[in-house]
Amino acid sequence: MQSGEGPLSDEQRLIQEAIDEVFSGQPDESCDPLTELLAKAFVGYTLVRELHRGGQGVIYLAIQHSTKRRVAIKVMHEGPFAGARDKARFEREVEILASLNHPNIVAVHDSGEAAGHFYYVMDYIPGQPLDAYIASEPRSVDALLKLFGTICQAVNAAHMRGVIHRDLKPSNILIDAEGQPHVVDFGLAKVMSADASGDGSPRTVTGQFVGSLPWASPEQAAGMPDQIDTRTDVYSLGVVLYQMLTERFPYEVVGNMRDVLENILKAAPARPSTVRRQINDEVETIVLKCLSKERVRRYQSAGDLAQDVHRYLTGAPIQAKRDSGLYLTKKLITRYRMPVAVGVVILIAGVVLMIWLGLVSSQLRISNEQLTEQTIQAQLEADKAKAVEEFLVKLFTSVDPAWGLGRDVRVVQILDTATQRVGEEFEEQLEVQATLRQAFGRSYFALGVSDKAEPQLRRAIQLQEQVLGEAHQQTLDTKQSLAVLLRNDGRYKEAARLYRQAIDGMLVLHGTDSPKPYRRMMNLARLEELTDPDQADETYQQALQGLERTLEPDHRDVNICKSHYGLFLLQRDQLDEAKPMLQDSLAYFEKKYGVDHAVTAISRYKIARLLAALGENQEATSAYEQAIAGLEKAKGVDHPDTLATRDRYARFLSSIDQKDLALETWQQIVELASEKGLSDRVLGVYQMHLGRALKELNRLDEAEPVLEQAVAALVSGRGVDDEVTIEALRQIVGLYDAMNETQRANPYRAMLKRAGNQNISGDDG
Amino acid sequence: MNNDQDQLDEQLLERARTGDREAISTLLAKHGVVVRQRIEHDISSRWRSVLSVDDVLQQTYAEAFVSIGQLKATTAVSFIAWLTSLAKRNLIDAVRMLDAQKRGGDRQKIEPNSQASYAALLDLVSATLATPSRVVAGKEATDALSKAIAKLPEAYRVVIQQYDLEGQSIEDVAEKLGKSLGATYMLRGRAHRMLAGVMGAQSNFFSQAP
Repeated sequence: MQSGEGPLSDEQRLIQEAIDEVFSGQPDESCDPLTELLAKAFVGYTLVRELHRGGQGVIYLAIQHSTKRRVAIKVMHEGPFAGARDKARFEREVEILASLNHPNIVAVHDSGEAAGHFYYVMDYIPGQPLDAYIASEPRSVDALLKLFGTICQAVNAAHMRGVIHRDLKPSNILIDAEGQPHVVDFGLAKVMSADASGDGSPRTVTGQFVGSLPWASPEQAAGMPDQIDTRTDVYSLGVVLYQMLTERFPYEVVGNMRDVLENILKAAPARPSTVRRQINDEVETIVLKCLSKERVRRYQSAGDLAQDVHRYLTGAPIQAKRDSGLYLTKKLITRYRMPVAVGVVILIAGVVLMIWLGLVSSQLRISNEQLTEQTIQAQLEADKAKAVEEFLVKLFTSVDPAWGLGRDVRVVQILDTATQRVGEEFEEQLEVQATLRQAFGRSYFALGVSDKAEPQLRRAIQLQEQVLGEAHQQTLDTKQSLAVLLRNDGRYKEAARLYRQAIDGMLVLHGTDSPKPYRRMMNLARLEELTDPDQADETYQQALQGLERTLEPDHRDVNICKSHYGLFLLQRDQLDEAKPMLQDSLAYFEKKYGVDHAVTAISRYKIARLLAALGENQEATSAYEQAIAGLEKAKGVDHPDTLATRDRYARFLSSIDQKDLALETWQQIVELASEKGLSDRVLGVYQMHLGRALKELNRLDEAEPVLEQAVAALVSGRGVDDEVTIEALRQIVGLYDAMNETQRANPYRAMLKRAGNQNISGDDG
Repeated sequence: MNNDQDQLDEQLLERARTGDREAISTLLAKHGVVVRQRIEHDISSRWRSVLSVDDVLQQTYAEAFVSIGQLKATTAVSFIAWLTSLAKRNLIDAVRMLDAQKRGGDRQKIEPNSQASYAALLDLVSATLATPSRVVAGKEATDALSKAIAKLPEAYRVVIQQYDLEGQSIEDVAEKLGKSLGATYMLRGRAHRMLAGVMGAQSNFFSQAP
């Protein structure tokens, strides 16, 4: 393998600088007679230093004179005295590497013989081995899987050329300065051949172990070379993935060789989630499938493995779990957050239409008997429905490569095609066209492509108003969808207008005795909290009255409305009005769901805030602690909701002068939030609160790095002109002023000034 | 830490002690961050404009590459302790010199490249030798010193030549090296220790000492 500089992290950069400082201009300590001999023998290259000394050869860093670029030269050990097998293996490696053209496999540029030594010249990868890279800083499971997926693709490229690496391990995977992996050292690779008489690889004798033991597959450990195929690499990749995720081996690989071989052959891998709890069921399934002792139960190639990793990262059902009906159902439930599963949305739309088709067909049967005019109409509808079904099925089958055509088609592309066609295909059938546009608009929205969703929804509303009327349920539903989109886009006024239209339509459609309009009204009130609090108050009152009138007093929706309205009143300092609302809803949730349910805990948190506002500090403390305990139990200690509640509690503690306890709480929050990998947007807030608390306690030296981190995270996560970022900037400027570090405060002061100006101009706009 | 990790660390330490740069780099990448956490609050705010945690760590890593042969550690914990002690010593070097500079400096005026400058350097270096020896700044000693300096890595040669022997200001030397003042002071401290090591190996040099 190679090794060299890789300024990928602070530590790596510093290490490289240290190496440059210590070894520049100095003879390499590892310089030996071979190096000196080769230094003269390589025409066109200048040897710089030895990079690595392995079992098969030595790798040097060299400069290629013609291109002035750095290259790595692998020189075979033994030179003129090398055995025939070693020579053949070396030549095989050169051939293999030359045949593989992949950005994540090291490329060979030249080969030959110098001073009796075989060598080849390859790309120099300035980076570090995968294990050092993983150890250099903590990374999220998804980030590791993304990297791993790229490694699998590289190995798959070799598999596609009939090459089995046979020695995949972290030290044979280099990570470059951009974080891209490069698979190196094909010295033990085997070439598969259709010709049964020879596999094209150097001969291996039955019983001879080839590879690196800790990453070896059971078939390697058993010394059965005839069973080595792509699945052998899959197994090694499984061990590598296990290490990447847990920094451990799946089983004991130290000790005497017999025990290690026994473990490889028989020991069940420890479940990765028991080592790192962020590893979920799906990731664990992928890892364990790679590590199946039986080859037939593993992924059949690195390509299959790469695909499943990709499926997981894009939210699609992984192949390894496809057998489970429950699993597929779970994925269906979360479909709106999962791009690929939008295909499922379309399937459901298709199914609904098929049901519709069935109904129409049944009408048709009746009509056939009666031979009325209705029969002809029904036939037309059935034809339309059939056309819709076919249209949807065509779309759906191309959405999911695993179920359909096996192509890697992006859902957005499918939707793009569909939206282009739908107008033409259903030019005369406007109602159908509207339904489809509504579905496409929602699908785009679910994929986060709001700019494409909006015109579809608008066109759908237009068509539905034209064909069905303004007060039709379908028209109202589409308006609701568009309102949600606009709300998310910050266009609150238009969103509120559409909500209001939808509610008015529902009042017409369902009358005032139905709870449906009032449920929507509650949503409208929550939106109006942001735009027009006075109007929100009125809307909440209407919604609550309507729900209380149309539902039983202990209905869930009545209490949800009370909970929302209560918090709103609390935030407006209308404590007396807020109190009964929040108490009623808490009593209801406690009775209905139990004390440890998340909804009950959130409701209790609101009560805690109320009590704090009323100055009942002891009761507030108790309520906060109960709420946090409930959330920890229901959602976990590091769930964002739990952390947000603890943050609010810390602020309360700080306000009642329990600053040390508040500080301790914030320290825990920041630690948990960092470990959880929460976004900069959220983590920055907690860091800012922690830094501010340290500053208030005059622990300025400790506050400094925390506030520095907070500002960096908030600028990155929220932008400079965000309200919270501005507060963090104020804090750090105040800190440096207090430390008489005016020079250090100045850049932040300038940012603060810019942010202030932007805000002013923003307000003006 | 689990057994696998312990085993890997032990293997890396074993390789590191033989001077395997890759193993040293891996160990530093893996454990340097702990040292960073341990020293990041040790730098007083008054020095932060001229001395960063990165400066200290970079010098510490450089020293680790040079001094790895002396490492006795066989576990990650003792390696981290060793690395932390190097870091703290570098930090002390820098802070002591920065303090002295801020007080107006205790540097004596010397003629650049004069016998006196070599003598002053020898005094400094001999103070760090394992076997202290008072040195006469004769020509022989000066030659030996020059030879020893020539064996040092470039950055170390520069700081000794320009600061100790030519009497240039630390700011000028720092600028030429592209380092902060604190880092340059640390580099100088390390250069002296390394020079002492090189000269210590030259027993003939000391044969001339009284």
